[in-house]
Amino acid sequence: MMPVIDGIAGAGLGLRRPYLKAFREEPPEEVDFLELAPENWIGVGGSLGGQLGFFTERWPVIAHGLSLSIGGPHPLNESLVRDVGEWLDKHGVRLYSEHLSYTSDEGQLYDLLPIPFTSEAVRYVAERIRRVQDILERRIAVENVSYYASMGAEMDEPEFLRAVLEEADCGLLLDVNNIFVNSVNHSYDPYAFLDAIPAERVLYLHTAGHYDEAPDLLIDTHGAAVKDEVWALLEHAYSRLGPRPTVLERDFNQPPLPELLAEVARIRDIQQASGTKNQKIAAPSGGKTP
Amino acid sequence: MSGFQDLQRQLTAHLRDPDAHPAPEGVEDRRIGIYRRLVFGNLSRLLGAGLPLTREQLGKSRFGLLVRDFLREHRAATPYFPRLSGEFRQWHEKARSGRPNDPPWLGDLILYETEKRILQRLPDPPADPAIDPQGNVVAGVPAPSPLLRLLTLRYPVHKSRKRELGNAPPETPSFLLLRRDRGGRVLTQELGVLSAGLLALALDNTRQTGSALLETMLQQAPPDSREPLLKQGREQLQHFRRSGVLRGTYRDHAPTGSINT
Repeated sequence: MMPVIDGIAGAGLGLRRPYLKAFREEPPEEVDFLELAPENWIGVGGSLGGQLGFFTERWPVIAHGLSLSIGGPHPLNESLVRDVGEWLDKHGVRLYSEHLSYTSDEGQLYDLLPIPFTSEAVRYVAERIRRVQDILERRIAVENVSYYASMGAEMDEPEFLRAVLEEADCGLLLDVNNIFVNSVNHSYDPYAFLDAIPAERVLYLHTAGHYDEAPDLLIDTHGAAVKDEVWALLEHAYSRLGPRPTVLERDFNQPPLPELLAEVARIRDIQQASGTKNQKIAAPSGGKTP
Repeated sequence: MSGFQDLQRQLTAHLRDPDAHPAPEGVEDRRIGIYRRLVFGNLSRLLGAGLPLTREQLGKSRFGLLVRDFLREHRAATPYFPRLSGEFRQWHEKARSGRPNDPPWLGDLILYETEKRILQRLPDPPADPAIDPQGNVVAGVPAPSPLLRLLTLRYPVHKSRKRELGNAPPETPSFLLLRRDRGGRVLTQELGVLSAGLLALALDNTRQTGSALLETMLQQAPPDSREPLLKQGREQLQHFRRSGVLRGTYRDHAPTGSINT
């Protein structure tokens, strides 16, 4: 059986503009749920905004934020958090995730920048995550991001991640492609990393393609098909965590929808194969149920 | 400030303006370079998606320079991607006087594109009980639709796909009506000076009747052309009503009695 987390199970897709039409014309059966960025939809009306209901009525949805800057040096944007909360309620979305990174100083840079792995940063970020959870009255998930530069680290990434999750008492969105990209860029064993993750906190997973810039430098572009090494890592993740809900992300070089759906179907195949092998793995404890 | 935040601010200062601010020490430049590329590339894509004509008219490299200036000089506040091009316009309006090398039509083009985009995405206005959709827009106080914009442009940037804009503006400005139809499409329509003037007055007005607006506008008109212009103006108001530019009349200010036109 597939674990169900906040009403979400199976294989999902990050919904992007180029695919809206194809989805509406022929709602694909391969997709169990969708992931949307609230920052693309909040306050949007007209013919684009009017389409949102089509998706939220047909599929369970996860909100995946982009601009919160949870690790940023500027005060937390609480009005964004409240807008997100209203949007979640309006569209019946339970789960909200964000990136364990920062995207702003005094202004937005709209990109995922690295938080130095220090104990001071752990306390600071955990406090902000707790504040977001208080405002939204629910547990959120934070995502392990790809990072290309390590600045001022006092600890390694799994230690930082564990400490933030514990201190904030929040969920983890585990991105297996980011683990792979980071393992090459920062020379560690991705399997050992996966095994060091607190399994009970993993709410769902991400997978995506990346770009090989150099043998020792990969870039998390979301612009290509998922690589074989990442599929293997995903399979390993299921063997440890059970077949938890998993989203395919694709942001650039977007192929025709059937190509993406084949990748979504592959996620489900691996989940099902893993599910039969791991009947007894318990799902993580659920959050607040409405 | 905390040590880790010093590093974070050093990184963003460098990404905004690599020539003026060194990257945090001890990090391989090849790795920081990825962030330089990602931040600039992502911002260029976001702004290019919101301002496709501007990017096309300026060309990729000139548009890129504008994006760099925006990244360096401006601290973008909106977390919402569809609103970024509007914030870009506000920055450009303020920065304009210090940018003598920008083409003279650039401000008009950015205005035109951002207003179109804003209209496309505005939430649908709820039915307003203060407005009578059956009201007479000549005898009553005309209520314009919130889903329109009236722009006065020195350069005909809405035709920029068809012609070179050049450096000198035409002798007369273009009056553009942007309007969202029921299907959600934004239509661009060029208005004559009378229609534009009348609509501009109506947009600023919640008290005077359509007929009074016409009288005000035509005060200076030569006596022999006054009557035909008044007639033309009344017809224009009715036309605005039919096409949805006016969505009725304000009830509170409706004068008593009815006047047939």
